[in-house]
Amino acid sequence: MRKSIEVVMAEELGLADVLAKGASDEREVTLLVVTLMMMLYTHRHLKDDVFITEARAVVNGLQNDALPLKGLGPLLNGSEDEATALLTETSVMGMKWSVQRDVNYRYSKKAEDRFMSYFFETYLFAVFGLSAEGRAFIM
Amino acid sequence: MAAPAKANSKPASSTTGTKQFQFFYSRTCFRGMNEWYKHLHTESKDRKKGQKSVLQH
Repeated sequence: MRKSIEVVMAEELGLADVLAKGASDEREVTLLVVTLMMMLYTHRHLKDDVFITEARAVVNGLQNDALPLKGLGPLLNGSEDEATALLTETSVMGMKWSVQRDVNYRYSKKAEDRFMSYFFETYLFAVFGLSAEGRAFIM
Repeated sequence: MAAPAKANSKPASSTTGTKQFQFFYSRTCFRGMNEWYKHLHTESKDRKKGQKSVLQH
C-alpha cells in the first residue's frame, strides 16, 4: 500500500525530493504518506483495513516524538521552524478523518476552512486545482 | 398546466445566485479532488501491474 502511495506522491505531486529524504527523515515522509492514504480511503475510515490499522499504530508511535521537518521548509517557501509548527498542526496526528470527510460528504464553508487550515491537505488541493488534468477531470 | 407565478414573489437576487454557485462549485471541486486522487492511485497501480505482466512475457 505504502509503495503505491509513494509512487503517486513522486510522479503526480512532485514530492520525489521529499520522499528521497525518507532514509534520513522517516517520520516526515510517513506523515505525508498517511495523509494521502487518508485522502484515498476516506470512504473506508470505519473499516479496520490492515493498512489503516497499521498507519494508526505508526502515527500513535509518533505522537510523543518531536517532529523535525528538514525537507519541507523550501517546499513551503518558509523556514524549517515554520514548517515544524505547521506539521504539529497536521490532521494526521490523531487521525482526524473528519477533516477530509467533511469537505467531501458534508461540505460547508466551515469544513472548507478547517480543511484549508492543514498544510498538506491545502497542498493537495493546490496541486489538483493547478493541474490541467485535475480540472479536466471534474468537467 | 403549471400554476402561474405569484405576483408578489421575490425575484432571485444575483448575490444569492453567486453564493449558490460558489457553494456548488467548491463542493464539486472537493469531491472532484478526492476522486481524482483515487483515480491517480488506481492508474498508478494499473501501470505497475502492466509493467509486471510485460516483464513476465
